[in-house]
Amino acid sequence: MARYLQMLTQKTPSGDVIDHLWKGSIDIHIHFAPDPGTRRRWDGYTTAEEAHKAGMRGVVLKSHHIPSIQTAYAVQKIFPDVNVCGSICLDENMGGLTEVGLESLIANAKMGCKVVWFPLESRFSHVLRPNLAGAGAYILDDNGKMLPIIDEFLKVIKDYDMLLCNGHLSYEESVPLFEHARKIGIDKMVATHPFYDCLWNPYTMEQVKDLADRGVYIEHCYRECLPLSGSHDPMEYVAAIKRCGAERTILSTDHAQITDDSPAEGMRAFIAMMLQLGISESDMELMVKKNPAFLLGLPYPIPENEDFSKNKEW
Amino acid sequence: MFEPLITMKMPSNKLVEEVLKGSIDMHVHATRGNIERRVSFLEAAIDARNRGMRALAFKFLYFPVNQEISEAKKIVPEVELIGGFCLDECGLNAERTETVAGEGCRILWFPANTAVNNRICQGLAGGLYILNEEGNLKREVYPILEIVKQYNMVLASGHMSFAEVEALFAAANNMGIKRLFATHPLAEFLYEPFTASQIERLADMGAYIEHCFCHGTPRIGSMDPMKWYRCINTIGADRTILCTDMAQVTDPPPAEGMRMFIALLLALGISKGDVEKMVKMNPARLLGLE
Repeated sequence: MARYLQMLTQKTPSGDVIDHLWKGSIDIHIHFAPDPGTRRRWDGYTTAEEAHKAGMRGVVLKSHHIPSIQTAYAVQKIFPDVNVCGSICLDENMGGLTEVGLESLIANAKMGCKVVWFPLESRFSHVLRPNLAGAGAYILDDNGKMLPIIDEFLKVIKDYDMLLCNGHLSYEESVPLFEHARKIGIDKMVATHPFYDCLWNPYTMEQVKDLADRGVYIEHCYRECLPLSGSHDPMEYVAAIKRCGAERTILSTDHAQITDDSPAEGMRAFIAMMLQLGISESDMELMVKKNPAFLLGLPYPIPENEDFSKNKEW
Repeated sequence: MFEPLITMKMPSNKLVEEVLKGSIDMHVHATRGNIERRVSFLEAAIDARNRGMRALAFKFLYFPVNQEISEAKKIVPEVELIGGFCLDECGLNAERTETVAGEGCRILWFPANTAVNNRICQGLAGGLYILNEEGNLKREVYPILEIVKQYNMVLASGHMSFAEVEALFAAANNMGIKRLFATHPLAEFLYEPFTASQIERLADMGAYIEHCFCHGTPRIGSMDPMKWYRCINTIGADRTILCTDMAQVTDPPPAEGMRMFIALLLALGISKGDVEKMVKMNPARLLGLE
């Protein structure tokens, strides 16, 4: 009720304003079908097709289980105007945080993969599930120091100019991870949906602000606000944007389950909702266009007639 | 945290699309004049046709929409397009009701945005209230009900309070009006969402109970979908109708909303047969499409 009132007192943005921001936006967090983890509605092709119809500039395909670079490679040729990016999650399927996992990362980097997520099946992401307590990846040793092999992963990320996302790591792990990354010259860093309260105890506002101050971009996802993901209160995003600054924030969807509309539609709804909650058009421009463009190594302002298929032959 | 997330069994795309095919959305908003929505009448109709939907009913708060509908029908004859009119702008106006009924309007909504019950929630004074000081229906309501009966229209409750809706439906029962529609009684923007026993009472009076997907979207406050689930289990799928109440300019298109609603309820464990009752059989029966 209170939340509805909050929405009600805000002015509905016009369709033109919404669509102007939608066009040219980039969504760095999209799950696609088929997925061994759950049923999903949109595959790599239809995801890119919907983005293309909307005039979006880019999508990053993500899978917890399988690298998405090959799907992205094929789909890119069909929709040259949308930057279709592959990514890799450093989970068990990829060898985990071991020598094997490192080989997987290098192989993917060589194929043009530009986005890396640290493990999703992390110890931190299991804190609310008693049956999984203690299981999952953890990047610190008993003394709280980062495991030596993590350095190796970061070197690869640096060498191939990839985007480093912390996935489902805890705040205590993320601080040394990002600090070390920054030290070796990585400037593309994202704290993945730190307020997500469906899987874990969310980061506090102070922790989020601390990461932003260390040069990390803070990601907020629309899907968290949906009823089936915990109905997260979007006013917390508004507060975080005010605290950390729009210039340190990006918005993405984390779509799409079988129950969802397309990632492109989700992006539009997210833009509309944030405008309705009082975020300015210029701040939105930073969070859905400029910042994600930087993180994917794209120029901004957007050049005309971009053809992403041309520079992705490898 | 939403508990069922972990245990939910997601339906297949195929199953969702089967249920969507042939479905009816009785509560759609489209752009007209300076009231901006996500889609035009024609866009809504084309989208519904492309997904194999059977019918859409358009609710308009300010004008009758029969002309827009007849134009869209020429281009999209495959989808039944139905006009609805709301006693918002014109108040409790029998003359106006008769005009729109004569033009083909098949659903009459009692006051929505202008209802006292709705305005209180927005911190506004005044508004339309259909009971007099003794708690009985105001006299000007009866001629309107006569027209509803004469034209066999669907009588929809709008955003009024439970006391008003109960009195209205009781009078309708006495007059032999058959098509009763209690509109989104769980909506949280109503001053006081109806309780389970109030909703049961309306169902016992012969009303179909409506739930609208838009109330579960974040822009309107992300209502807990288990409220729908529990209400459906209490009242029964036989007396429930699912609609979207979409689309504001911030929303996905209405047909997309209908698909998401169907997928959501299947994911929560409502059977295919029950969802089909609520999106196909019941709205068809209420609208007299069978």
